[in-house]
Amino acid sequence: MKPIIWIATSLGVTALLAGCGPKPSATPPHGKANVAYAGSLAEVNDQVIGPNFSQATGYQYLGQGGGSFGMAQKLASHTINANVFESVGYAPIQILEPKLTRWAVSFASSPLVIAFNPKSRYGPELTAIQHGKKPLKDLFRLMQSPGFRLGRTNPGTDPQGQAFYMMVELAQKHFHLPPDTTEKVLGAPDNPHQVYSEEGILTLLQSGSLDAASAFLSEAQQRHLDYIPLPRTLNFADPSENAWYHQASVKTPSGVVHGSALTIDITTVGKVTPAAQSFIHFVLGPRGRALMQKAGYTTFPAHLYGTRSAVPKKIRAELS
Amino acid sequence: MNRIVTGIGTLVLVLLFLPLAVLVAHAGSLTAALSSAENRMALYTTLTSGILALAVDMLLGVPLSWFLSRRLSPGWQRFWGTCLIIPMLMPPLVLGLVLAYLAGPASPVMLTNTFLGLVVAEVYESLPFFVFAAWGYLRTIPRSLEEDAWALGKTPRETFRYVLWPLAATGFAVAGAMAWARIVGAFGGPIVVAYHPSALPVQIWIILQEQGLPAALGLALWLMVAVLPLPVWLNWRYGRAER
Repeated sequence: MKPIIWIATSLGVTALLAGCGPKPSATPPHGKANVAYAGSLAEVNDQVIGPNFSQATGYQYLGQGGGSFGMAQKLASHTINANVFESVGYAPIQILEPKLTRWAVSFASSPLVIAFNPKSRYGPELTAIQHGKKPLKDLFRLMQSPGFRLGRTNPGTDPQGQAFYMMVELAQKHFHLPPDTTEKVLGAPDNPHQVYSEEGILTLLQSGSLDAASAFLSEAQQRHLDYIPLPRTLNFADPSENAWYHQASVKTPSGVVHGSALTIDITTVGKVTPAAQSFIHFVLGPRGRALMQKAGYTTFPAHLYGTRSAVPKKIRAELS
Repeated sequence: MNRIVTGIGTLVLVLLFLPLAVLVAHAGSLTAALSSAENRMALYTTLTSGILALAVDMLLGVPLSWFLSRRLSPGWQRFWGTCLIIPMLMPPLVLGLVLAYLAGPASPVMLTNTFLGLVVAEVYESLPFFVFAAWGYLRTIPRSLEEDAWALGKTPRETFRYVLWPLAATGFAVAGAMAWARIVGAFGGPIVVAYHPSALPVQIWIILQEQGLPAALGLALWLMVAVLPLPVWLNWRYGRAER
C-alpha cells in the first residue's frame, strides 16, 4: 500500500473515532447547578446524577445534603445557597413558597423497606420473612417481641419517620391485626427507645445495636443491607395509593400529618439560572430517569404542584 | 510596632465575638425558646450529663496527665505525646460512628439512646483535650520542687497535695474549661449514639428542622448562657490564684 493511502486511511479512522466521543464544545457553558437535596439522595446525586449531568451539559455540579425540612429552613433563611432543591415530599418545598419558588415537580419515589441485621437474634425469622417463607404479617408480631430493637427516624423532622409510623398503622388495617398493634410496635411517635437520627440509624443497624430499622430501598441497596420489601399499599412509593395512605396519620410537634406517597420533588430556588434549569431538565429526562431507576428509585410521569406558569419553559416541556 | 500589634489584637477580638453578635441579633425570643418542655429537658440534660462527663474527665485525666509528665522518660513522653494526638484529631462524627460499635454489641449494657451513652460520648469527645492541656501545664512545673519536698521527708501523696496540686490547679482549671467546651458542644458522637435523651446541640438541630433558624438560634443562645458560668468561675478563681 502506498504511503499516501496509509495517511488517508489513518486520517479517516482518526476522524471516525473523534466523531464517536463526546462532541467538543467550543465554549463550555458557564454556571453551576448548586443542588440542595434530602440526605437520602446523597449517593445518587453526588455519584451518579451529578457527574453524568456535568458530562452531558458542561455545567458544573455542586451538591449538599441534609434532612429535607432542615435544608428547606436553611434555604428559606438564606444560610445556605442553592439554585435547585430536591426534597422527599412536597411539604419541605412549601417552606420556600412563595418567595423562593411557586412550583415543584414530583417524578420519582423510593419505596420504604425494613432493613435488618441478619446476625441479630431475630435474624433467622427476619430472613424467613424476607424470602417469603413466612408471611409479612408475622413481622408486625415479631416487632412486638420483648427486647426487639427497632429503629426509626423522628416523625417531627423526617418524612421517612412519618411514613414508617403510618406504615405500621396501615399494616394494622391491611392485615386485620389487633387494634393496639401500632401502640405495641411503636409506642409514642417520638419514642426515645426507637427514634434515632437519620445520620446514625443505619450505622447503628450495621454495628448490631439494632435488629431492624426503617430505610428507603435506595439506602438499603447502597449500603448492601438485608431488607424486607413492603407491598405498594405499605411502601409509600406509589402516588396512585394516596387515598389509602391518607387514612393514616401521625401527630408531630407542628401538627397532625396525613399520609401521602414519599415522592422525590424538585424545584428551582430563587432566580432561575440556566444551570439550574438544565439540571432539572436532565433529571426529568430519559437519561436522568434511567439513572434513578438503576439506583433503586421508582420513576413515574412528572406531576406538577403549584403554579404552572411559574415553571421555566425548558422544564415545562418535560411535564407534557 | 505597638500600634500594629494593638490593631491586630483588636481585629481578632472583633472577629472572635462576631458570631456571638450575630447569634444575639438573630436569635428568636429567649422565653419562647424555653417554653417547650423538650427544650427545657435538653438544657437540663446538657448540664447534668456535662457535669458528670467533666467529673469523669477530671477523675481519669488528672492521674493520666500526672503519670505522663512524672513517670515516663522523655522518650516515652514524646511517643505518647504523638499517640495522644490521634484521638484528639478524630472528627467527632467519625467518633460517633465508632462509638456505635462500642456502645452497641461490644458493651455489656446497651448504651445507645441512654443518658449513660450520652455521657460516654461526651467523655470521648472531651477527654483527649483535657489530658493534653493538663499534661502540657504539668510539664512546665519544675521537678526540682517535688524533689525538694521529698528531701524534706514528705510522702509522694503529701508532695502532690501540698506542692504539685497548688501549682497545677490553674492548669487543671484551664484543661477543665477546655473539656467543658467540648462536652457542651458535643454533637458528632451524640447524634449517632445518643439522639435521646437529646442534649442541647442535638435539640438545636431538631428545632432547626422543625421550626427554622430563629427558634434554633434562640435555643443556641440559652446554650451559651447556661454553660458559660463554669468556665468563667474557673477562670476567675484560678486565674487570680496564678497572679
